[in-house]
Amino acid sequence: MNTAPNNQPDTERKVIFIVEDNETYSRSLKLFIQTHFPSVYKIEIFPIGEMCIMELDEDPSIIIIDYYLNSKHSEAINGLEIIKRIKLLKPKTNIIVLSSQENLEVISESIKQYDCTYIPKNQTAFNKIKLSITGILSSKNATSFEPLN
Amino acid sequence: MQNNEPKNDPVQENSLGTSVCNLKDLIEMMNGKRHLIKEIMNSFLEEIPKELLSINEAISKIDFVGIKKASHSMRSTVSIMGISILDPILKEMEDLGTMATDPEKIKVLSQKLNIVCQQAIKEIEKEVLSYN
Repeated sequence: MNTAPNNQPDTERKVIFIVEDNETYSRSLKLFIQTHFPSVYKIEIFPIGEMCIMELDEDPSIIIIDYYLNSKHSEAINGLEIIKRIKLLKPKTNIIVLSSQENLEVISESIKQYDCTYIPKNQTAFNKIKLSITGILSSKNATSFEPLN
Repeated sequence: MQNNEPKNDPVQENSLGTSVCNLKDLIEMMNGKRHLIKEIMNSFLEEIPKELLSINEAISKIDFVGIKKASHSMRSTVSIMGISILDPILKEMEDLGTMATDPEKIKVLSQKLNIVCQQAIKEIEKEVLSYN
């Protein structure tokens, strides 16, 4: 029986992946999620998408992925290609795409085709991520989530 | 000293007499937990010199792709410390890198970038000490 209050998201054994090649940003995001969702079972950081793909057996509920993943690792596969592979292997995974790319047309393909949530990397990004995670974890069977902008 | 900069240059207006970092959002994000804030500040102090080095090397080689990538990445790093004065500078460097044009303008922007980053490092080092 689930005795958790209705407004508490279900975080039991939930795993969240962060795919981000900027170390300060990814560490900040991990600590932010740990602070606001202390019962999330595990949060893993991957500097490149290929490493995240190799760990998909852990069945992450949410993958937060930067759109540009080759700032520091020039051979790294870009975010869109990683999203395609994730959706092929684990179609129900909720994906949040982050980018400071202002050109929304570039990002829109991933939103439309792969049912992702796009969050611009700006001052409100972390709060939007928090809202998005709350929404996803609150709807256990959700396979998609409305974009926040 | 020759001054070709517009009068409303934010770096000049700031004159670096006031803080370039604004930790309000970071403190809020971490619910004021000092050990977490300190951990992130230490990450910034570790990463920002490496990122500056990458950007400066790319500029010296006139490597536009490198300039674009390094500027793009640094925008994320500085946003965590609330260094909003750098966002338009890094955005312009990223755009010029994308267009592979105007290396002289990139150099001017990078001078401002380096000045502000050195100031930010000093501020965060001081802040970390106060968290001990």
